Amino acid sequence: MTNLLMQIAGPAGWLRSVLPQSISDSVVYDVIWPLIQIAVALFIVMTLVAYLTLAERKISAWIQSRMGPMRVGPWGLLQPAADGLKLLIKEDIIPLLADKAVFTIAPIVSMVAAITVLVIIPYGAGWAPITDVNIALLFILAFSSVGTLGIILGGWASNSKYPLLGALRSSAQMISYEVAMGLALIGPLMWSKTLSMVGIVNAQNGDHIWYVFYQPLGFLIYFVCALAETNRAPFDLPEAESELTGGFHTEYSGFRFSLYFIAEYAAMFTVSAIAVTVFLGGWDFGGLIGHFLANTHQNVYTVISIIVFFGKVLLLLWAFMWFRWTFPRYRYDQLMDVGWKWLIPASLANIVLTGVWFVIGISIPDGKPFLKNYGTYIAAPGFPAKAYVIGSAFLVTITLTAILLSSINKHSRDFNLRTQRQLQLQKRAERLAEAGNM
Amino acid sequence: MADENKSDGSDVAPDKPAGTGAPEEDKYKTQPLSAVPADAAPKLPETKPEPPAKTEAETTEPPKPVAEKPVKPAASAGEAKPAAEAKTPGEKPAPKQAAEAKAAGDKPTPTPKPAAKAPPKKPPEVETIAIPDDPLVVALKGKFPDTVIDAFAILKQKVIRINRSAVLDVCRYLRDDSAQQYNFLTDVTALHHPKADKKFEVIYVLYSIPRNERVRLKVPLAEGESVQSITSLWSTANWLEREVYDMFGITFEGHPDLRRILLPEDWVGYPLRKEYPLEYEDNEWVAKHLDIRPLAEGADYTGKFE
Amino acid sequence: MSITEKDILKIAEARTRIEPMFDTQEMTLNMGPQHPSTHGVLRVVLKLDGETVIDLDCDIGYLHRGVEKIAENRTYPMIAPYHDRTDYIAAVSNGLCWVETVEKVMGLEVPKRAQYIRIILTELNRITSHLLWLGTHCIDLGAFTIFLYAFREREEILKIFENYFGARLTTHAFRIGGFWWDTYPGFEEQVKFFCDYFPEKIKEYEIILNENRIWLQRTVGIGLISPEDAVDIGLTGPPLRGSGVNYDIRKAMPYEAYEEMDFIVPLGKAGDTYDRFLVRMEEMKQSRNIVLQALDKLKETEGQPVIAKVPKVIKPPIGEVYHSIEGPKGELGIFLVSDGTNKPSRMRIRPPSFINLQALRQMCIGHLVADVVAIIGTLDIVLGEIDR
Repeated sequence: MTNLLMQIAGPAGWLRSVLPQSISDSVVYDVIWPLIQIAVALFIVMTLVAYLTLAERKISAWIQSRMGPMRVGPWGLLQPAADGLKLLIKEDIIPLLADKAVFTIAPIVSMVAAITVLVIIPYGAGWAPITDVNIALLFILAFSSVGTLGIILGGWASNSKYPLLGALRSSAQMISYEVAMGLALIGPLMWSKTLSMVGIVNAQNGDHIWYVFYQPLGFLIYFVCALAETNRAPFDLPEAESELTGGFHTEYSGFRFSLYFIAEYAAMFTVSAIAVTVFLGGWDFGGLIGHFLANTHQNVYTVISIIVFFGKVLLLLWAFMWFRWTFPRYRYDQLMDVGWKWLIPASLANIVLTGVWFVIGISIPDGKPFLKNYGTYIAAPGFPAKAYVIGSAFLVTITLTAILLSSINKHSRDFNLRTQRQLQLQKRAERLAEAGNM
Repeated sequence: MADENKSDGSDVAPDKPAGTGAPEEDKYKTQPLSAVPADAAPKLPETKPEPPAKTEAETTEPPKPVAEKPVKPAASAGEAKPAAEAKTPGEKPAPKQAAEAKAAGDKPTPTPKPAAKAPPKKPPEVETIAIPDDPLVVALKGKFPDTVIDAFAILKQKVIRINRSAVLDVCRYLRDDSAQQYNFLTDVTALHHPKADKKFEVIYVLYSIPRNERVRLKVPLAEGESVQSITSLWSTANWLEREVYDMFGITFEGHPDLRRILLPEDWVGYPLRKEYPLEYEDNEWVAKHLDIRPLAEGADYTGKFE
Repeated sequence: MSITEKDILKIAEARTRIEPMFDTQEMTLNMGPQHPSTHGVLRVVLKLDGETVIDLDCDIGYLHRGVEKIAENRTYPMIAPYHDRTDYIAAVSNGLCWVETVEKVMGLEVPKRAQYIRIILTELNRITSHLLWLGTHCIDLGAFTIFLYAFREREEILKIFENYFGARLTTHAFRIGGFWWDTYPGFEEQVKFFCDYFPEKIKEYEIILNENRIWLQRTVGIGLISPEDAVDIGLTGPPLRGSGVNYDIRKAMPYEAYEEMDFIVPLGKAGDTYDRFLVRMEEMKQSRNIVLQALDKLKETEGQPVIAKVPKVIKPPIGEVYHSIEGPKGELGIFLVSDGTNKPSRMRIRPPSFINLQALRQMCIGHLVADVVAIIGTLDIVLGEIDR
């Protein structure tokens, strides 16, 4: 057992030693082991998603001073199974006038897009990541757009007005928020100098910091966009229940509906996992213990890192749910406003200012620059350097961006509601006075 | 002039004798009201040929104690005035029996009683005072000499009857005149008096927010007569007039969109007219709209599942 | 009056917002009668340009039961439960209006103690009605949590109703002339408990909503209606007062013992959804104050009778009366014509929701679909009352 714990090669190596030699190394390492990893990851994530639905209900219940599901199993723990079973055995209804092929495919598109991304998420250190693609972030952004495509197709294929409106909203939302989301991720990339997920985590480990401290604004923008990307409240316009009676999935029932449902939660998991990887140090749990373990008990370290990773993801997922049950819903045009007038300018400002801090950090302190290029990533070693970066990010970047945004949005209807209200009243008074004169 | 008639001119009271059938002037009020139920019952359309089963019910019922309204203290004290109506014990089960006979939608129950069995006394009336000197009435009479028919204060609520020809003008005057300022149209409704000459009365409840005054305008209409719409004065009137049209079949000239509002477009009949039965199935309408076709001869429609 | 002109302007404005590049077509969207946000079986046919409403038509009557016709065939006491079922959210208020109308025709003087109990129950009912409005309005705007918070508080009042009337929703609260029963033991404590606990809960809602950016964005400037238009269209209740018109029947024509009560009629400034929200929130607080005052007075009248001397068979004298009270939704009036028998010759309900709903068209044109939902919510309609 200790052998296994210490073994650098991890379960893959153990698998090699167990399997007969007639199976070549490449088959073991490149086929069998990844397949096992995928199966395990899929199992864990799907279970997690199933329990996210329960968590959503429980968390909403706690927020709303209720108890949530309590009947199926202890504390309702078997509720997801009951829900899944119910959805499976429900009648599968396809509206008469729907485009049957597209209607059938659409939820599958959403689902596939949400699941595919799971393969490049670095679940932990060492042998835990299934694969490390050097364009991982681009891949993820691309696939999350494909997920939205599923929503658009489903809404359009239903041949019904509410789903159509939902689909239109969804496409507009995707275009707006995808941009800001991508731009928000550029900040951390400037530090890590790589799109590879493992590379990003390693860069943060190397610098002994999480990029959320270097990029607070980027993290905020990313998180808001992530809410919007996954159609979560307060941005759940495509499915706005009170307006569009469910939006794109109005006409869906049974298991097709549950595919959308699972896709939504899987997408939530994905965006949270990216946020954790890029901004929250991935599997890193910091400190000496980690490094000690990493050098001696590699496998123990990996297992702990997986747990840490999932813990961070769950924390973010909790925030998703917390927001959903706290905020009212945006209106369609306000959503566009937030996307185009606030988030995109803010993310651009973030990029520019980060670049400025880079230039200053590398060039200004003569001879002894704050920032060092370690080849694969850029770091700010030492306390003064870190203080410089964090201080500039938290104080100057955010302040400057706020000034920029308020100057851009000074005349926007939604910027200062109180002023707008006063203006409205004033206008009304003038109009009344005019009417009186006439 | 506003002051002296605010205290309802009690001098005018005598010309309105208490409860009895009055000369033509009062006729509009007392006669149709008391007459309504009596003649409404026989007019029931085809569906309910239910006989006035009440007499048996009455005779069988009496032993039963009232059960309806025996409120604690009230049980002890039968009051002077209402006691008169509560006349005989035979009368008491009326509410109960009405509940049973509700299916019939019959009006006959209450009215024959006072006429037939009880002393031929007419039921009392609420305090009603003619108010010819009320400033509002005076002003209206001055402005529209031929319009105001009469004016009363019924339970201290001003009621003015006007001719149908000048409704719009009167309302505009009441709304716009600085002395009146009846700027709020509270309600528009109608009454049906099947036995009267003028079978309908359209009622406008106007309220003045600045003056905190309420007045009711009544416009008597004969069958088939229409009245001017006041939608141009108050947008409120739009739906209210549509409802009156829907329920009574009174048309409003100049209404922008006079359709039925609560009932389906192609409904036949006007439910709040007295001759319209309480329970009534329009099978034709239902069959048409739910697409029910007559079943084939000998078809088994017990609804068994195979 | 000049709806059409205004509408044309609004439509023109809405149209010019986007220069059409291609051949475009209006879209007709059927909202309801089965729609989560139409508060019942209201059907709104929207004509949309993109998501902008350029015209709408309300189709009502799905719940028409002919209460007015039924009333002509029922005795006076038998009619009371029908009133519980028109505006079922405010059954107590409706019942109050009915019994007061009959009492007015009969000339009954209700004992003071009964009046205080009536005020307490009616004001509590106003709070429940406003809480339900708050909850559903918040659901319409996507804030689900407030809904359950509001229901939590509403539950406390419903418990009082249940203890007193034996029913929670269709209470059939009052009898002509007063009450059958005096308050139950513990009534005052229970009401007091609620009044003590309610303000902090209101504060809770206000913390979540009053300064919430999204809430402000969704309500400020939405469904604007000027005082003149509000009077013209016949709005009553909080929608009218939200526009700044001071018309509260409790003050204007006090009924029961409202003259003795000290309360403020909150008024809005701009006449938008946010103002109506604030007005209703303040009305809840004022209702609580009234309840507390009435509770004090109730203690002074301990042991007095709660019902007037009512004849066994209720046969009001011949006559007619229009009586209205300030219901939670607006001016709730009953026009009663008595022909001297034990059944009314005509009973007309002036339904506040019905008339308030008329303003929907005027308020919605030029707004987005999501605002239609918000405006339906802010009008606080109950289809049971609209269709009767």
